[in-house]
Amino acid sequence: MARIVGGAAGPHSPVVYKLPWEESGDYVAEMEKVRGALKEIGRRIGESNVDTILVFGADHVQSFWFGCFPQMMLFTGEEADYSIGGNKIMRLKNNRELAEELLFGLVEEEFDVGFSQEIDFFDHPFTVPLYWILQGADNRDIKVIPFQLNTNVHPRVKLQRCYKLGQSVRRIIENSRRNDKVFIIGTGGLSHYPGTPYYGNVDEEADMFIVEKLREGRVRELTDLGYDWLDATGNHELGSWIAAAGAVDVKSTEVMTYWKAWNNGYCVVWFNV
Amino acid sequence: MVIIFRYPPLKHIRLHKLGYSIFRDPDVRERFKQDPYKVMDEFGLTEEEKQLVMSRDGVKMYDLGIQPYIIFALVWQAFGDWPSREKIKQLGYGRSIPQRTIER
Repeated sequence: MARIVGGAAGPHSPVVYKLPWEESGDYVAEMEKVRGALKEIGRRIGESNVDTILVFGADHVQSFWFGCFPQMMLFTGEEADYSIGGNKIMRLKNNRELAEELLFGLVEEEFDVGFSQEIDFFDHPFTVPLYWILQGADNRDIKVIPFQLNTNVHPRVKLQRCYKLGQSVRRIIENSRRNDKVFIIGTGGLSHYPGTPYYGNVDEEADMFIVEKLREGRVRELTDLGYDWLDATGNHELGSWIAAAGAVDVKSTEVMTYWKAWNNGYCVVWFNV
Repeated sequence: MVIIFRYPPLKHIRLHKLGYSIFRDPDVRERFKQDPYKVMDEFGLTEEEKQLVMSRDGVKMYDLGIQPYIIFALVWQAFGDWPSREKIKQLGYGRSIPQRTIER
């Protein structure tokens, strides 16, 4: 039987991959802690012999265009390129068979998820955390299932729906006859305001509110948050975290790091099963 | 109710497509850097839209309804400029965030 062995969530800002400007020594040191936490996730994944990572991420109008912009989409091709800012970083194999089971299972569970068998690339919402996590896992031959979950272009998938989606993913995997050991990742956040006049703010109080709820395993209480609140606090990407927490059926959360930088609340968490 | 990452108004589809293409297509990006007006003509931008792109003013773009992630492409990828901490202040970002309550 396939099973979900754990889950985590963390930021996907391109800055976590590489700083595009000069910063202070303190900034660089804090950023190294964020990268270190992502690598630690990879190390733990390696120890658990995980063979598949399912990533909930939100496209930033980079893989998809307004000609067709999916709320939910599963990649069911054999492999895909992963880029940052459009520049290819790596090519990763998909667990196609499990992805197809998820696609059919989710539609059966009344999540009408789209699919893609061929895509030009997935960008930083998927690539950045995977880049560090896979390094931590010694770049083992881990397959990756990317799951587009729209939290970035309104109207977006509500948090209650994200949580239920995660629960459905869990049911389908647990009912699968396959032997996969699956790890779930949600990417994005926490507070930041990219591409808006609010950029440069970080709502640390809101971040701490979210972090405490997660720490205590009270994830369902977060699912009542609407996109007005999420946008106002720069936490519009929380849906990916909630979906991952729902899939893991999280009991409590280990906060591996939180850092309020000038432009982003960087947080990496480990969901305790 | 404040929605920041809003639905893209259809009236901006040409501008949005230009930004998306500048991000996606290295050829468009290079040609834009060489001759922005020629590329903007290809995408059918109005004179007003051309002025907006050439202003490099992301704050103004946001206030006129451009989708935030497209602003990245139109301002920073098109002109090769990434907003550092110092530039943010110069460019007029850091606007006070919308009212919100935290109910514990």
